Amino acid sequence: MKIVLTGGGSGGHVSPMLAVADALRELDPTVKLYYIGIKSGLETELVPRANIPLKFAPAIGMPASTVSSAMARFMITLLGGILAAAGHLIVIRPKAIVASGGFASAPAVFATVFLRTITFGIWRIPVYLHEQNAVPGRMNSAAARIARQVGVVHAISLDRLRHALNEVVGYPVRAGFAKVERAEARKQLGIPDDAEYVVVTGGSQGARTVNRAMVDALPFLADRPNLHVIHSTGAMVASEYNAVADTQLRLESISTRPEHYTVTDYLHDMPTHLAAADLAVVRGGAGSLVEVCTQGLPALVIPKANLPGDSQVANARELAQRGAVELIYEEPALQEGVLLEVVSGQRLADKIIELLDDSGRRSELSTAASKAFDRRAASRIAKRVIALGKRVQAIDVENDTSTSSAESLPANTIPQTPTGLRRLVEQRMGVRYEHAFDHGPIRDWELTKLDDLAYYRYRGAALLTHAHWLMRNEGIKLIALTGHHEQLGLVLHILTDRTPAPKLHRMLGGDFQQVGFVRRNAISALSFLGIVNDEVRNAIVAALGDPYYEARSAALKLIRSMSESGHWFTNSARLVELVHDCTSDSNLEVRWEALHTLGYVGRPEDVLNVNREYALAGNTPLRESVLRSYHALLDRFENDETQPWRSQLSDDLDHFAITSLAFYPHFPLKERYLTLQRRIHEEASA
Amino acid sequence: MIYALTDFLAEQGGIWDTLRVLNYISTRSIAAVITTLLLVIFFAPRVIRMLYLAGQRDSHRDFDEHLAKSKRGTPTMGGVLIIGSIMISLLLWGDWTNGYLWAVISALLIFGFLGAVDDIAKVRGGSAEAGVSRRAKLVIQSLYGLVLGSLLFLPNTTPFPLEIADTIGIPFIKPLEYGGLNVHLSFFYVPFVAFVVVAVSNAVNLIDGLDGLAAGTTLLPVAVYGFFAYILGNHVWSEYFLYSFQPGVHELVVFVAAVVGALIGFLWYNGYPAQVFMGDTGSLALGGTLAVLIVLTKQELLFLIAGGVFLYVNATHVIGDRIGINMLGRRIFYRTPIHHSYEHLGVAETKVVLRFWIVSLLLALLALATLKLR
Repeated sequence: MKIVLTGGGSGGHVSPMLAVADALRELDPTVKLYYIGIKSGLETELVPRANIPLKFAPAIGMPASTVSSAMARFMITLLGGILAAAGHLIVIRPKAIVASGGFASAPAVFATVFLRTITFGIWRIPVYLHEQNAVPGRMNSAAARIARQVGVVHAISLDRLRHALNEVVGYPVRAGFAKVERAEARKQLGIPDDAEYVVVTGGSQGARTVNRAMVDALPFLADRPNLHVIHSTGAMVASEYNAVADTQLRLESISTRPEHYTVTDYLHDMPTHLAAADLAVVRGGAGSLVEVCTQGLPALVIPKANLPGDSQVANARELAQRGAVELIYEEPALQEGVLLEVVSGQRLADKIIELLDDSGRRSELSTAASKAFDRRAASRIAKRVIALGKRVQAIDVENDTSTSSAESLPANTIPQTPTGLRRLVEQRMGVRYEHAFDHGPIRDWELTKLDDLAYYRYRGAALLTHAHWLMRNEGIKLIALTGHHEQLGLVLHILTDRTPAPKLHRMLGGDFQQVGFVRRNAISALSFLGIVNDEVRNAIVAALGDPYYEARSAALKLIRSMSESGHWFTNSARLVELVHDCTSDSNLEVRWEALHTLGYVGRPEDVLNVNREYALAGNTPLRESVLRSYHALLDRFENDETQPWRSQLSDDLDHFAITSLAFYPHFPLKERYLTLQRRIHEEASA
Repeated sequence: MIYALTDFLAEQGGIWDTLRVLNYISTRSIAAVITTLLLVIFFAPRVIRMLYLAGQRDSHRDFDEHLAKSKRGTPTMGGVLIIGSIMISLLLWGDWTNGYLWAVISALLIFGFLGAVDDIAKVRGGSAEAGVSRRAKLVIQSLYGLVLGSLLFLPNTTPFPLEIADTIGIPFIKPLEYGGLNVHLSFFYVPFVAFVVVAVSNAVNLIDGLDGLAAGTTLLPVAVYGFFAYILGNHVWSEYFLYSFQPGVHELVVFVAAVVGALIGFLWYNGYPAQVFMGDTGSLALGGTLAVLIVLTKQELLFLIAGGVFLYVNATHVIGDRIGINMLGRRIFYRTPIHHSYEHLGVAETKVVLRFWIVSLLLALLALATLKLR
């Protein structure tokens, strides 16, 4: 039987396929395997070593924006990839395809649709899809519709991939990953039995955050004589980051480091190192989590932020909830004028020391981790694939009675009353979550499942570095809502960031990369954060001159709410002057807000002079703002009745037009209905 | 039915001959207006009660806080009332052997059905996003447009005189037979029809946001096209106004009369503060029929004048929403659809609606002025 495996790019997608390959060969020695991958992926290295013929079909990741040159390139590449993969499939004529998901498997999966269509449905190659992430990406959601059967790792993905034949099968691990004895491993590596051994890796490519955080953490770890650290930087060489060179450069800049610190670009015998280790610091990719968990190793996970579906964070959170790993979230910070995700060295070091000192916690983690993944996944998948190829119903003849990894999970119960962020939104913003966040940065199941402020704060901050403004906008709202004061600097940065928008956008009337809505909401966020200092004042001054009208009017509202709550700047003459200027703004909405605000902060004479001009304005809200500002003025000088402007004010009011185009409807019937309903509910709950 | 009956009896001669008066277009049109108007006014309270009982009410999600000040919770899907009364009236007064009539009725029913599915899905799902997807709607609308375009274009099925089957009308320009010119689109006529159908039906759908706005602003363009149908279908008048004669098209006058009657009757209940909304059932059905009226009277470009209000609302929506809000991340207008912008500027809903009606009237008069300005 011929079977095609596909999926690739990173080791996380290739290794499980190789595990399945081993299992397939074991189950049916006559099986002939082929692999379809991409040329730039890790499969070029790993697949030939496993004696599987490798074919290529080009593919690139799907860009986030729907209309862009990147999207056009993606579509063309995908089309080419599908044709290439279809060519391979015609030559190979496989009985089934196993896909590990990710963009590299897209050509082969979509090629089956292409072949089915051109043969009028006669030739159907069944696809088995294996989803490793807790949150399926867009590509896998699409592939799941094509696949005959879907296997997942986390039970929670079952809800997210709507498919008739999906089930939890677990994560396939190669036999080479069988547990190595700790003492044996330590002997091989030459590490004393009583030493504390920490393995740090950001995966085969390397991770900037992990590498930099680890180097920054070294000085804080220097006074632990018994600590051995092996740090694998990964081999990434790209224009924005060169893992080896960057780490070397950074290492030179630190003063002290632990005695037994080794840095390398790649760990070839990872299982041995993990077996010998007391603690691992890893990324949240599905593959590396499996690696550490199958070894029953306590792990500190730094998941990569802002991946599609926030998949690494979702994976890591899924395990953290089961008590199998500890989490550190990335946070964005300004470094040399660029917003980057970082983890501070001190924070990482503190966490490492905390875990090393607490052996009880480590053994808890270890126990939970060993239970997180079981080892029968590969053979389970192999059985199903062979059955697909033979076109028979997969009769599950597993004689093991052990439960699969997910069944030990508590049932995914969603509480009826809103908790967590949902409740926060309702309390602080007074609107429903769906209205506050159009694009749902926190998915529904996460919203109701956890009451996890740290996660919401992380998510809000992480979204600020997102490529799409829609998501940055949601990030701003989250920060405001969770009162994440540490991120004030970033909010101010976004407010004053003047990177221009793409040319097409500017031609159509756009201005900066941080678009109008983002700037407007950043200003509103300041009122949620409620911090008053010079930086904030400068930001408001800048916002009053913002080219986007809603940003200006939000700034005016902010001034109002600040002066109302008593938080006001000591030296604010410049601000008042700017508010005064805004009363003759070209935009009506800004003028309304400026007139209203001037009543709160302006000198009474100025307020009267400005307002007099609008006493007969045709626009109703303008005149309404005039009246509001008079009210504010009277409130401010409530106890001081000797003011000479009071008589002037009543004179001015005599010449005020009171015709209104606006009115606010009121339906007494509905009002009574509503109060009645409230009464009934209150009596019922009392 | 009445048409067929009187037609038959009149053939018998004698005293029955006087019944011929009931077969005149003018008589049947007036009868259709009165019939639909009375049907709507009479049946509306029952239908509204029925919609209440069926739970077919607007937007449940904002129910709590704003109830006392807003119209949320008002029954929607009042379009069934409009469609139903038009159908009854046409069964009585229409000449069902006429191909033009079948074309507009197909639009009324198909688009009405599409809208009804959408309305029900929205209420079931509890939000405006739960309805039929934008894309699915577009596909159905374009499919309908393509089928209609093909039927109008193919020589065997077209109700038009063959030499003008693939032409479009341009205001201020006479047709070839009166020394002007005919613009032939050849087979491009088919996608053009589809475009008109999609554009106009969505335009009416979009404008349906304030009490009485969609009903009032659709009424006048529909009436204008009825007027044109009368002229085009009358040998003498079409020659007098220098239009190509289209035999049979005058049957649309009866249809237009039924629509006008239904809309006036609907406004009785839909005027501020509304007791019932037409919903997508009504707005899509009206949009679809208006589009087909435009195509059948071959006055496509006249809609730029007669439907200027729709053009304005749609152009600003595309600029403000698609480009501004979705792409650039900023507002270009205070609010879109543009009628909400006026509310934002402090003009009460009633006044906005009234002003849109007035502008619509002005544009309708301008459109009629093009009759002689050629």
